[in-house]
Amino acid sequence: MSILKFDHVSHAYDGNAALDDVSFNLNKGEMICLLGPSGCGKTTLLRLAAGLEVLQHGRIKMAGKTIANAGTGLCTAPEKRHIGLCFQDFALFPHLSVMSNIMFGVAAGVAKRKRWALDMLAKLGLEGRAEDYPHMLSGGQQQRVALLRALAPEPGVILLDEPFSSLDANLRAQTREETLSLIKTTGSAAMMVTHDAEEAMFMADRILVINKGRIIQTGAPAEIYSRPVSPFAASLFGPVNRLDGVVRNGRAETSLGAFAAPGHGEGTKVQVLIRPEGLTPVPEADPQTSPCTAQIVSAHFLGGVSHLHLCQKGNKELLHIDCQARVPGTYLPRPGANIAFKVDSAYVYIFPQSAANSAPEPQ
Amino acid sequence: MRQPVGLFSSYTWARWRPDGWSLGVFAIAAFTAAPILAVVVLALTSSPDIWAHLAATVLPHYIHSTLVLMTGVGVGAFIIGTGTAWLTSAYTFPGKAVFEWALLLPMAVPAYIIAYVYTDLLDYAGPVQSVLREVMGYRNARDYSFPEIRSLGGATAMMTLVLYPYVYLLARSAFLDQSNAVLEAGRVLGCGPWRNFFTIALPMARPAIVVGVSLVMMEVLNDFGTVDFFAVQTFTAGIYDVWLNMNNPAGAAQLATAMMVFVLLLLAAERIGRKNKRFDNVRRSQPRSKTRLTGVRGIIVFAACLAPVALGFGVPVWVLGKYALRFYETSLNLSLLTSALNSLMLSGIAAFAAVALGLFMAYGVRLNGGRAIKSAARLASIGYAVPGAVLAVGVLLPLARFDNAIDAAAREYLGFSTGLLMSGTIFAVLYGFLARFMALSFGSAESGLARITPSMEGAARTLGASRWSVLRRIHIPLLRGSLLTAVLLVFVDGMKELPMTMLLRPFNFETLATFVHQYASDEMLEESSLAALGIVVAGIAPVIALSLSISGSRRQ
Repeated sequence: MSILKFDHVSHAYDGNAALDDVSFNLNKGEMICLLGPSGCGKTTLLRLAAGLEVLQHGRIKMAGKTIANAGTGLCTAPEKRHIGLCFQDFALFPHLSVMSNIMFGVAAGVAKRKRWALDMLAKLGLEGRAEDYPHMLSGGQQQRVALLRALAPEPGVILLDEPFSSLDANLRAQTREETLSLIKTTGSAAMMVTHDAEEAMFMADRILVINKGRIIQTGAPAEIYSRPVSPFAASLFGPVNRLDGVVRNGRAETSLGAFAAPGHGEGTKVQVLIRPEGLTPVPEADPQTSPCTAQIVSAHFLGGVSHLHLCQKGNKELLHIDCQARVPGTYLPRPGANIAFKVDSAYVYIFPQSAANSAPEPQ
Repeated sequence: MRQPVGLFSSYTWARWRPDGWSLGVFAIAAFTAAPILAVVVLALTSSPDIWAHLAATVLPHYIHSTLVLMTGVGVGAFIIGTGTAWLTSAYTFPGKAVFEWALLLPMAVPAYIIAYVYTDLLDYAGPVQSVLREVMGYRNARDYSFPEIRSLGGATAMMTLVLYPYVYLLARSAFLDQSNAVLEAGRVLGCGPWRNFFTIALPMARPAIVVGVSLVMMEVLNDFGTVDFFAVQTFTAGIYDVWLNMNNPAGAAQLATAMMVFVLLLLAAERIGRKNKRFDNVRRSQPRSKTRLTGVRGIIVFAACLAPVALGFGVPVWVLGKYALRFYETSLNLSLLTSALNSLMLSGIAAFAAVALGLFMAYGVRLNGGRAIKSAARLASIGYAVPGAVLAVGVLLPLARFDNAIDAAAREYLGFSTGLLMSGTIFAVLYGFLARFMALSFGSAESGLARITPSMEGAARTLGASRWSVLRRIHIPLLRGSLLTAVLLVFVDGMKELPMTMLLRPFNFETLATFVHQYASDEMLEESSLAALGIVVAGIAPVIALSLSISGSRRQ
């Protein structure tokens, strides 16, 4: 049921590799998200799929038919691919009305698609704006028009390039909900590029984590979140506490306790990543549940959660740990107070020390 | 750099082929830059004695007066242009809405025309001194002192009055683009309006102002009519003198080369001024809030804005209009009509040819953004920075050589003389126009194309539009405005153009500009006022177009 297939695709700009041996499948009706930091090659991948970039290495198939093959030099023109692309800057045509923009790519069944477009405009809160021009619309409205324009010719695949990045936070949440349901109702397969992990988890059936032009992990959102393959993949999904540890008796020993480290050799140095959500305050230290104590540096109320900045007592070097505790109500101990907490091993990821170097810069 | 897949690149089959667009761009660039290269080659290869002679006699004088003129006009245009730009963008006061565009009007008056008008007004026999004598009871020039208009200082004043709009235009759009928040931050941190202007607004607008002032200085170098009339010995006047009066084209080429070094230094200074100085990327958060000026301050500001418009546009148009009305029966004759027709034809052909070639080059650069092509296009645009007299030398020399070669060959092999085929024809004038104005049309086409983002092209392509369909449905409709502007700009510059036309025109071929120059130099302003007025009226059209396009872009 593969509708779009990348086969060992590599690409470089002026000798700088943008994609390195990338292969994957997009299945019918599926939504996949390419997640990675800026400049990791995500956008190149979309442009190659759309035919806006000439393929350098590998093969791209659509619905079983080869549309680009670097070996033979075949590169089907973008207008023949029937792929919809929604641009980051929307790329609405400034000289055409909203309706003319949406209908730009519709070749057959114009009247029917026009009714569809009017219907959709009304549904998306743009009733009566069909004859307006793009500059008269707000950013969120432009985004919706760009999406409708890409969907109007009923493409087999729709590609979205950071579609919500120019919208503010509130609008983004609402717009991505609308976008997802709109795409799901049309039934077309979709591939979206983003650097926002929450957005990827919200939208995707499957996430492809990309770093330096390579796909380093593929899986459902929950799977990638809970079983990242590298410190890089783990830190894409939010802040982590990084600790150094040494494996003894099959457990990685750190200043926050020892954690089961299957597969790591005895005596090896490891890097232990703990999500802030994994630290839970407990009433008092209990040696049974591997307890730790630490001093509060600061505590902030963030609405749903409280954000605690801790440092561990007794160490010469201060060990700073960011901790978000899910405490009912408001949990705001005074700075300087000592608290006890336990660590949930589901939020602990252990990697060999050598993997530590490939962590991304904090964004 | 990402290479967007272009409209016309070989596409379905992705192997590289040398395409027509690149070759075309190189051909146009070579054609346009040939005169400049010809000047340099001739200057470097001919005998050096004339150069030594020039250096010993007139050259220091040329350099001195050229520098004084450039500095004077540059400073004057900076003060008037920046000052009025700041007043109209930061304040509201009586008449501000009119001044916003009226301050551009002096741009429509060529420097040589305003020079004729003020000479007519201010010389000994003119109305100003007559009234002065009448009122004060002076009998002759020995009784009082009055500044001589036909001098270096007079030329500086004349050029300042009509060239300051370049600075005004660029400074104003820089001021309007400045974020309100930055200026408000200055106020909150304790800067008064004056300090705010000098420490925040002015430095932030500096790149735009530097560009404006260097444009003004290039126009000063280009001017021939004013300095010729005022007998100010600048480089441009010198080239004309050495070529025609001393009959020494090689010497003229050497002078021209020295002058181009001047221009290149100016361009380099402008580049350095702009380097790493991109302050303009601050996004405008909200429209500028404007301080309202009333009472005495309102009147002072009103007068400050009125003065340049009145002196640079009002007075010349009033004087020319008066003469035109009074003398139209004698001046509206066949030779005037022929000149007007010649002007229209020359400028019209030049405008359409320049825009067609400029658009072709801009497309070529967009499609194959390679370094070689970009350099070629830049070379083709350098003509605008090169004074008309220099370009005229550069056009005539290769054409003469070409003609002589053809003539010699014809005589040797065919037994008859072909005479001069190209030199002294309209083709030579047109060639000069194209070499000089290509930058205008190329720049307009390029900036028009830049507004069409590559993703718009990509969007159209993924929506099923073929290359030609994208051209028809996206590019042409979006480019129409900038191409019309380009046609207009080249057309009006062609109408005003004097030095190249003087040097390159066929015998007895008059345009409005040469017509005015000829009569006015002989102190017969009355007879030429109708023609001068025609040039000014034609020049108003792009001013209107410019201010419309500026206010249009602000609205969006």
